[in-house]
Amino acid sequence: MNQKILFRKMNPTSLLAIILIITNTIYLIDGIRTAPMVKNGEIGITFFPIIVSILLYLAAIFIFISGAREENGLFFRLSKISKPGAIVIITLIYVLIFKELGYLLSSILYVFSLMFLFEEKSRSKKSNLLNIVYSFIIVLLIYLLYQKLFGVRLPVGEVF
Amino acid sequence: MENLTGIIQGFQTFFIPGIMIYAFLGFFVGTFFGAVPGLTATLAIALLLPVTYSMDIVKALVMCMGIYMAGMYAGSITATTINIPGAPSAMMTAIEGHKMMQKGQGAKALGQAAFASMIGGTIGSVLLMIIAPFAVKLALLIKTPGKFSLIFFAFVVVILAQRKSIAKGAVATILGIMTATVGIDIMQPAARFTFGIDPLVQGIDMMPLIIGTFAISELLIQSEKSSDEYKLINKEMINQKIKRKDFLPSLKDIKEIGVFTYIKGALIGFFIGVLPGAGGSMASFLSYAEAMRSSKDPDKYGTGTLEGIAAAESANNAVCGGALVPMLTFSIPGDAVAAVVLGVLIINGLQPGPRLMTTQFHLIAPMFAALFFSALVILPLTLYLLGPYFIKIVSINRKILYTSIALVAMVGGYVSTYSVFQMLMTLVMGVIAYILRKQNYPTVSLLLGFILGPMIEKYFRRALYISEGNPLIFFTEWDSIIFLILTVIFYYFLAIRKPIYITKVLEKNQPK
Repeated sequence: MNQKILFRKMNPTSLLAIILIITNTIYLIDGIRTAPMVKNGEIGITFFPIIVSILLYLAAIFIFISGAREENGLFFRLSKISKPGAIVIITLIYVLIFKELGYLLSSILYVFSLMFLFEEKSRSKKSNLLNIVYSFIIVLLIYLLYQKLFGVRLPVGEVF
Repeated sequence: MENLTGIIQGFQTFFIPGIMIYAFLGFFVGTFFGAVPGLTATLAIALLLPVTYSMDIVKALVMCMGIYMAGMYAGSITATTINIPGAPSAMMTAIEGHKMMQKGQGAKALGQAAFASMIGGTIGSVLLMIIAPFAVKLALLIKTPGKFSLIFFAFVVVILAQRKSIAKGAVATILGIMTATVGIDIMQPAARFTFGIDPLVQGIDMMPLIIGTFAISELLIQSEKSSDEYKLINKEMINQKIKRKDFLPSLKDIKEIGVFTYIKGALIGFFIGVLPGAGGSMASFLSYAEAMRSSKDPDKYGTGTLEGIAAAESANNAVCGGALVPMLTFSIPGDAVAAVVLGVLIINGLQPGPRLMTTQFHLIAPMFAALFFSALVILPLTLYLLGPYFIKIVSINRKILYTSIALVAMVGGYVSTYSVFQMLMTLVMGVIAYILRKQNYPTVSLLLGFILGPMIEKYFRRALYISEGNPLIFFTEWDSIIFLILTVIFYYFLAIRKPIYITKVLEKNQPK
């Protein structure tokens, strides 16, 4: 069973509203710590953001209340979020190795990993080989577009 | 007279082959992105954003106009043939067009959608050329408190335009404003909202925000869909046999619909386009609802009527011209595409506003010409020559498509500042936008909040500085009062007193 019930009384609408309220509180605290809203009769750099933050509280609380009226519980269909999650992790790794390995090598690895993830047919040796070829072509085409056609400097790694 | 000369010179610049080719190129790109469900013209321009750094700004803007016009139209191809709108603005076309397709009249529907788009797009771009210079004169009259109230009015309309949930529209807009506050303050050399993370002092660049919001979030959403869904779409598309002549409407149909329907649709589209955050889908919806209200036979709506297609398509293409008016004169984009085009201008060091329209009009005028030419010539010409092949592009291998989009997006995030941190921000903004979209928060509002946030704060603080902290300045200056009254009027009509016939259309048609 890949459908796991994490909470029964909570639902996605309310959960996101709570996350927004928590994030907003962090923002507000940072604002209050940075500078006073008004100093020597003049409004400071945090005056406007703090007003905006208060407005966010109002909207998020409204969403939380309307979300609480919904009957569905909080379901996480793991099979549904596994691919987006994997893409986020792969992309994060790509960002971390981008400068170290250089554009060409890191991008080939990135594109190949994504292709592997998006593979529609059963993964075979042939399809893997084809994915490697596609990865090379895509990375090379985008390299030519940025570096050669538009003169954008892309990082060069130690290997190539 | 001066403006007319400027526009004529703009056309002369546009007709230089080396520049005009970019309108064609943009049109093909826009058609591709508009026709493939999930991809939009906004995404196309967002992906193009990094390369505009190295491009001539005139060429970049000309290309954007081609994408814009094509993106608005192309959604109607899949909307009619397989009942899946390629773009949100083609939703109403799907209702009537696909019914006609089922009756064996798909060719008529496609022809009418193309013709109405051409008329709407052309009228919209002509109105843009006429109204923009007057809007510039108006913009010059507005002082600091008035500028604050104008942006406040824009925010209220952006939020109210979210018919499904105003609170979610408000949250998305506020999140955009808050994101823009990260980094160095707009008026003083002091850092704020860095949360102890040093790289955040440089703030979050516009490029990662646009690319993350529109490209990365789309990639994550598309990854959830099973390949079976695509196989079904591809199978249906391959079975569609569309000929070149299908894109030509018959004179009899045009007479039956009536010229007034096209003009009315175009006018509705143009003025909806002027409103911030409304965009093509709202324009086509309202134009369709108005056509249904004024029709001699409203019962035929929803069963496959050319009148509905003409109203919806002429409106959504006229939006292109309308949305550019506030963007160019007040820096307030009318829709998501105009917001990204605003990004193109800002990234290239141009700040839209009265000064740009007066001192650097030679850079903007070819863009007007490109919009006009795309609607009147490129749209019918390319549809006639390549229309049948556009159907095939939907069946492109999505593995190659989305990995290419991912790579262009991430590298695009890097090249904006040659910073890996901004690349990381592209991913972060993509994940945030993905979560928001999953919960039906409008990401366009997020972008508009990010763009307009620093402006409203700047005018708010300046106005209070002028009045020595007295907030009554917003209620005593005439320009500010006008926009505040407008805000109340729009709030009344959009949130309190919704026209009954719109509710009726919503009840009658539940598009797939």
